[in-house]
Amino acid sequence: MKKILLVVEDLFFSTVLRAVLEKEGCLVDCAANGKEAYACLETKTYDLVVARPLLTYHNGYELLNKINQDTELTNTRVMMISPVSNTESISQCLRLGAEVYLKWPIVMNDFLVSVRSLLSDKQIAA
Amino acid sequence: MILLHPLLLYSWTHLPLPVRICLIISVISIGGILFALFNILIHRYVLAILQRKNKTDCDEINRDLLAAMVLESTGPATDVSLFEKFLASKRTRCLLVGEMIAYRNYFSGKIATRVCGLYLALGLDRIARQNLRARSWATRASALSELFRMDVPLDNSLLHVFLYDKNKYIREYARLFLIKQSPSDPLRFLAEENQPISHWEETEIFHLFEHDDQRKAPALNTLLSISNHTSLISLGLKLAAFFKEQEDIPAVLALVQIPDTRLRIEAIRTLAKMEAHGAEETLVKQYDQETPEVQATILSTLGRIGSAGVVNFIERQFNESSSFEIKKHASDAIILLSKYSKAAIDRLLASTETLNRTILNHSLNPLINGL
Repeated sequence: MKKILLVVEDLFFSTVLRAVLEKEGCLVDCAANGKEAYACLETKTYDLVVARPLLTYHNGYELLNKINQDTELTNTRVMMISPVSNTESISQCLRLGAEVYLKWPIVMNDFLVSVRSLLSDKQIAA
Repeated sequence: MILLHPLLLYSWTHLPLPVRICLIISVISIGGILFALFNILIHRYVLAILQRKNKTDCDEINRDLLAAMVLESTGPATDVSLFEKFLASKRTRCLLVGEMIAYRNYFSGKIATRVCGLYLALGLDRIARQNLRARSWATRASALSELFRMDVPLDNSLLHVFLYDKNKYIREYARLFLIKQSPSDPLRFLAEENQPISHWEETEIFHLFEHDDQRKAPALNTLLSISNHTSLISLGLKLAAFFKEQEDIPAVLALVQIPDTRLRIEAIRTLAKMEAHGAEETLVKQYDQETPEVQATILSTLGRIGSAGVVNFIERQFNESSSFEIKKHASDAIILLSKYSKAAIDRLLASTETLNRTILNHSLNPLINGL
């Protein structure tokens, strides 16, 4: 079963995404801020991290840096979701190693297609 | 009973008048404080109960919406009867609408369409339309906001009435509605009205254009007129930078002469974002008449627009200016133009002046300047 870390501060959004990912057959951990995300990444390894660039304690860019530098997280892939759609934010995220940047309001199908392609595993039903 | 005791009544009548007045005031004050404290306690208790009830209902609404809108979104049309129980009271109806709006804020596509469909099927739009005629401005503003967020169209004649409402929130929502409902030239009426817009409205208008892929770039000439209110010009500049339409460049360039320094800076920055190559000559001509703050912005813009023709001008400003800020911006601009300014950079690095070399080295260091 694929493990996903969801780092979104908004409880409503996090609940919906978690339900959708669990329905897809993934094991989802939720972190409400950068500090909780760091704690999760230090204790477990994840196949995918879905995060917002704007977080408290450690922002999404710091999180990307940590994932880049930690040798144990080399197989962890990152997707950023944000209402901020300026080119600077997008290019910075992609430069730091995020593979997908989705802006919200998100289309659920696009989100799921991106998750499936990032995980690219047969365990997740298409 | 104690108060009515004959002895007390006897002593009361024999007390001097000032003492009696003091006693009455003390009793009233203590009574008032006790009454206020009791009221606060009751209010908090009621609020706590209400919050607990809201949380339970919100969880239930969320569970039902999640199941109907997201998890079973491929199934048949949503079962409206599941949500009818929430229409029984105004409180649960408001909670349901709030959650639906949250869905619309976070999700687009099929989920957003299904949420709108459910909203209409439950007849919530009819209630909101009725609320538009309410006496209280808060109810009317809230109804307008609800219909706006749920993409329910409103009659333009009604919106024009709201456009002149006494309450500013109603006026603002009416303006947003009109922009949303006018696919061709949506900003014309803003320029015709020439009324100031708030930062909140600016954000919402920007959001409308940013998130609607079907919407074409609006004509900004009418907004980018010197005679307009500064808030409208500022909105026009932000939209021009977002859409980067070449036909808007002359209108933005004309704003470089505007007396308001803040807007002048904004216009010059917009030219950089639009990569307006034809603007270099005007900016260079304008440079000497400007304040140091605007001069620094011009140098940054010249660096971002980027052509070989301005390298000598920027190098001269870097060498001749005594202002640290000007030197810093000129140095950053030269580095941004490194494709054309290789010789100039070598020349400046070889110069004997320590401050110039330090500034240039800082600009060359990507960890410091973040260019």
